[in-house]
Amino acid sequence: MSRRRLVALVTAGTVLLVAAFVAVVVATSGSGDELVIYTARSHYGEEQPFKDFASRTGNDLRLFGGSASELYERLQSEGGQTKADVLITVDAANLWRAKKAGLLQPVHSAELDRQVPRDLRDPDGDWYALTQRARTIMRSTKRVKHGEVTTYAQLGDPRWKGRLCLRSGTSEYNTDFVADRIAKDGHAATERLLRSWLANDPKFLGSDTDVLDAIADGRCDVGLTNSYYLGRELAEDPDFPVALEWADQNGRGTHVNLSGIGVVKGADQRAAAVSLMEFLTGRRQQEVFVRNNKEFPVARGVKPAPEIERFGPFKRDPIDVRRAGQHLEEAVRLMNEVGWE
Amino acid sequence: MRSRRPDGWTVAAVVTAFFVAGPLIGLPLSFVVGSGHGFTQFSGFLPDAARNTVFLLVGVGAGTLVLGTGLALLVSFCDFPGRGWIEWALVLPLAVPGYVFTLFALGTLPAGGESIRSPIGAIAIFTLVLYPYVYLLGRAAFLGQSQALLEAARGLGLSSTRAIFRVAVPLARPALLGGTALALMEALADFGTVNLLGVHTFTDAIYRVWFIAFDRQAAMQLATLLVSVTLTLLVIERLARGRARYHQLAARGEAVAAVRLRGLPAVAASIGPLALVALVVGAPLVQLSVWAFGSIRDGLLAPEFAVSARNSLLLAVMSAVLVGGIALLLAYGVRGSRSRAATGAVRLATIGYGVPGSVVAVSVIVPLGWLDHRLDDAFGVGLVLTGTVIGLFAAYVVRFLALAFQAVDTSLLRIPDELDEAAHGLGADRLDVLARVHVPLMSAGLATAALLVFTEVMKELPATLLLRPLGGDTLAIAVWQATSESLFKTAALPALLIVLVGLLPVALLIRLSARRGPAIQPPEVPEPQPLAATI
Repeated sequence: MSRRRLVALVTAGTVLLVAAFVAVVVATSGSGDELVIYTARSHYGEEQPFKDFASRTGNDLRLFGGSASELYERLQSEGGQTKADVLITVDAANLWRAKKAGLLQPVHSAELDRQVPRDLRDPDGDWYALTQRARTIMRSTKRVKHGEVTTYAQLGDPRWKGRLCLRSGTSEYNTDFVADRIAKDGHAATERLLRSWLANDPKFLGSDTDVLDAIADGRCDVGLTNSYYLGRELAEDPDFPVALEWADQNGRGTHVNLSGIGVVKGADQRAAAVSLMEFLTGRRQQEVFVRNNKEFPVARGVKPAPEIERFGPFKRDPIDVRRAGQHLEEAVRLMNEVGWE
Repeated sequence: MRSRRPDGWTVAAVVTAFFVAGPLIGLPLSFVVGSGHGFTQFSGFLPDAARNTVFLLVGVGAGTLVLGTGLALLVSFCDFPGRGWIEWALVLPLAVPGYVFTLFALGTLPAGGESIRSPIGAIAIFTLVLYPYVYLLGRAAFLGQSQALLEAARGLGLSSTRAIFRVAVPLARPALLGGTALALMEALADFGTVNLLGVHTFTDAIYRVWFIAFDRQAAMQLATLLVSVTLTLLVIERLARGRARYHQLAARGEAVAAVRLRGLPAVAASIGPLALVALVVGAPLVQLSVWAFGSIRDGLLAPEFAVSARNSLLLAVMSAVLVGGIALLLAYGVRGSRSRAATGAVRLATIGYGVPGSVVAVSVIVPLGWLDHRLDDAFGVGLVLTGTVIGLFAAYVVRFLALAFQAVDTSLLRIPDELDEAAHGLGADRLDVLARVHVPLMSAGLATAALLVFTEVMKELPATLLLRPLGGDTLAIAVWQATSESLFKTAALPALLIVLVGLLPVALLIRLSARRGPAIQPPEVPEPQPLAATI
């Protein structure tokens, strides 16, 4: 190689590299007029309402996925300079946490207030629920009789030793559940409950779907999952051999968490963000959430999915958003202490 | 004449090294600054993480050492049908990232892969995908040994099998140890596999403390502990490499002649390795293809799949050039000055290798985030570092510089100083020497460096997960997200692409090395060749 060729090559390479670099930086930094949504909801099969919103309003949407805690951490470190306009979580405690950290801004809209009941939104308007999610007991229809296990405490009964399946302790659904227990029953009672579960040597699985599949194919007899996962299984296969039991019906009721949405502080696209919230909590889209995902709606007058409704009405124990949020860290520590992997 | 004052190359090398190593060196600060109670608060994570990590390291160490050494012995000292290409096929598992094999196993094994959701399962998977490190180094060491030495041992009354175990294996000990250390560093750096299998190692604990418990400081403290383990492995590996040099010099002469196997042993020798490669590479490729086809047919592709593919490609290409360039700069800095400052700086800058991506992410995001907000306060430019791919590139440089540096440095070390001096004597200046002597001699090394970084970035998961900018999802992210939701079909196509791309550099590595059998080296641990061999 001649010296001139080397210099030319290096120069060309550098120019190319810099150009590509700039192009990538620009491409990944996004334009200012798109609506940026940080969402903890699953990427898969749940994006339809967002697509509909985009095509109806002509807004460009950009979805950025991650767990609620990853998104929270990201918002936290981006501070006032974040490009995010909307935060969507799949649990209440992370909404509370985001509000407390000052990452959300209050929104007031007559339409939102009409569509979302008062107990499903933040008193200051920092967040609104999108859907509700009941976390309850699942049993095998083949090996466990209806009524054999009806309370969360009974999952700790020694008869389920080696027959209990739980999702991993890192799931927001479980950390929120435990945080809400600590808030309502106190630390000691919650620790007793968890230790009784753990004494049954539960299998820890990666997702709620895995728990249901494990019960269906006989690796477990009972488990704890959100009700809509069962709804999806039953929609695909009506003979899926798992049934749910609404937990604690003679007590406080079944734990109900919520998936919620809020406008990020400093959002460039506040107006579009608010209209997305109005759109998603409107009757049409609520029906889509129910039909596709089998979640419980927040909008009044929308019927739950038939796959879930067949288990009958149930008494709800809605999550205490503020106090569960305050106890979230404590819950994580407790779950680690007792060995909930 | 070589000048004695510190020249531009050295200064540049020292400055670069400072920036690259800075974030990692800053980690221990987490013990002294901040609230100061983070460690006690989350110390509950520590015993479990430490126990699982140690168990994993012992298991993977033993597994890769036995499997890798066994295979290296087989192909080096025995001849059997198909040996010529089986010895290269055994390198292919390098192309399969642990989390892709895990995805395959979880989706294929009965009962949701329950049997492998344990530390033992993780050990099995790591052993299968990481043994090539030991195999490659072991093979190179065995082939570099001289026939005369073994014959001498035989002459002293040892059978040929005993000669191999009493002479050849002990002589190759540094190489085998170095390979094992590399495999262990990979296992330690892994996040995807252990997380998907629910095995609570250090990387998993860091992730949990940071994201579930929101304690960045405690995460950095755990990271500090993990880095110290990694550094220990790195020291072992370097010591082993240092000794390997003498062992190799001590064993020159005619290469070892292989024993021809016949009958049943020959069949077993052909089928065994073949079955292994079929299990680790063939079966996942077939299964992933079937799933990928299904996902295309049923419309189950990950959202924005094309964008992820484009991002992966762009990130990988640009990192390859960027990291390769910085590696070249550092290598020249050292060669130019031979000063202690430059050598030390380079050593510092290359500690990032083997440090898990999540640790790199923690250590990069904190200073970069701070700087970013200061820049924004001063110029109102928004978050130019953490809000764009720049943060990600910074992490890749920290993580993979060592990989590229060793490949570049090896090829540079093979060029004797006398050659430079001869060229200078003929009136060439420094640039001439670079253009007409070094670049042609180093092209293979540079290509190797770029390719290695390219594939590593393609499959990198934890740092990308934590630092990717808006719209910056990659194939690895798509695999990870779909697999965590047990959507194996959706995960298949991106996973398949990662493996196929990963096969390219492995194939090239093989091609580059095939010309001279004994010279094949995994570029991470180059053993400097005797000068006579390169001229």
